[in-house]
Amino acid sequence: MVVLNGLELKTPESGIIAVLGPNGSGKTTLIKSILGMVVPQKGEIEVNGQRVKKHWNYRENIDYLPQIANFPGNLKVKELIDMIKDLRGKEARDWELIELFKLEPFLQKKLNNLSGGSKQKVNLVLCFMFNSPLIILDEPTSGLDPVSLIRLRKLIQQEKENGKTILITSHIMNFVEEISDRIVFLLEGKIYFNGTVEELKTSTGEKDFEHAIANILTGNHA
Amino acid sequence: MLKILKYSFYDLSRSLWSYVYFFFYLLLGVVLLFLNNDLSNAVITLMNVIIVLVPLIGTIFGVMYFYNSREFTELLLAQPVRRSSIFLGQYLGVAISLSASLILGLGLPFIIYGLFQSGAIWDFVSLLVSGVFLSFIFTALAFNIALSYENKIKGFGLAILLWLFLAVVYDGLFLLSLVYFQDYPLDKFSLVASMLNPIDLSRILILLKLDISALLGYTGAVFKQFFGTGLGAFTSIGVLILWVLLPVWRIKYISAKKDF
Repeated sequence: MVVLNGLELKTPESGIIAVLGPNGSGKTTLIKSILGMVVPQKGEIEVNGQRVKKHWNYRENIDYLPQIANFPGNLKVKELIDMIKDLRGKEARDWELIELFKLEPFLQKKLNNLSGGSKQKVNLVLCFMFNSPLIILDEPTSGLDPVSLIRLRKLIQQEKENGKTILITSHIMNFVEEISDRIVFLLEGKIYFNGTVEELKTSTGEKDFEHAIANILTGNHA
Repeated sequence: MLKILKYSFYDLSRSLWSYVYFFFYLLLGVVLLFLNNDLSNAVITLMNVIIVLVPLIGTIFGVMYFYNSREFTELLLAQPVRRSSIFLGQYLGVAISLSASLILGLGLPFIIYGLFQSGAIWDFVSLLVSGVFLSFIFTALAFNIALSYENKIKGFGLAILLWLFLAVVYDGLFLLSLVYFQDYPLDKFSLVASMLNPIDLSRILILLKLDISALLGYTGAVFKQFFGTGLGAFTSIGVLILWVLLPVWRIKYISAKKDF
């Protein structure tokens, strides 16, 4: 099955890039291709000048937040965090994040017994605890309560100020509008729009971001 | 890879099934030895059990573990770890923990019984060696099936069919063809046919060691005649190693191309 076809995208050094698109437009496939989880049939992907295909070291420089927080259910939260730390062998700021998301009471619980939102918080800790220059977030907001959402937003802003590149997919438009420097709009595996939020608004003639997005969708695919 | 192996092994060591498997062998060993009081009889009975049961547990456990650890696998795939290390690490974790259950479960009662003072120790070792081989072979085959089929039901069905074929149907077909073609020379045919089935191969390996010609059967007799006891054992071990290496190579090959 061809999901992404003829997609060419270059991202600048740092800033927040939002990948948007309707369900099934290939956002997750794009992210998984960057991570090497999906093997492209054709074409090349490079991360920091390193080819992705048949390599794995480049993932040292990527922090990834998967869309669905699937974890081995019989592990405890603490064990999972320690395991990932052990696998990466890098310095980690797990305690800082555990405190930020108020996860202390859950550390000795098994992942099977956590609610969706708590799992997502564990997911966030695992993702942000390493200091990697590229951060990929697939639907980071899913299942989070408003307080955690605000904390997450702050965290993302902080990472941006540290000069990192952050790739985000999300369905929550005001979240995207507020934080992203650049919008990449995918439609049926192709890039439909690539520019800033302002450019999107002017090109569609809509003042509201959500409407501008809806305009792209309905205008071409009604 | 060692880190993945460590965590897979750790995960399995907390699984109830590993202990059920271990206690089953423990019980079997104790019952056979202390009620039967005959070491070489016990080894033969154990052989019959191991040759059927180890492949069955190996396939089922392998398939089950692979499907159940999908989340773990996805988590690992995004980490800076080589793909082949993830799958080979998980495979070795399952195969080693199954082998450990077998070796410990049967070894403990035999040691308590006084195995080290008896001459049957090498018979027992050959039993364990083939059991370990069968665990490694059938776990690898199970991983191959699970990697090729996303659908769990399909994967399970195929794994059971594979076991049924190699453990039961194959011998029937083999016997039928021996009867049907009895007018022709069948030595080469039966040699090749037994090498193509790891279960037959390990049976021959154990029986060659035990040196009970009555139980060897036609294939075993041909084997013995063709290779002699020493070379026969050597060849069958060689082919068993191939039976491990080929599926393991295929695990590596498929996993490198698969999308997750």
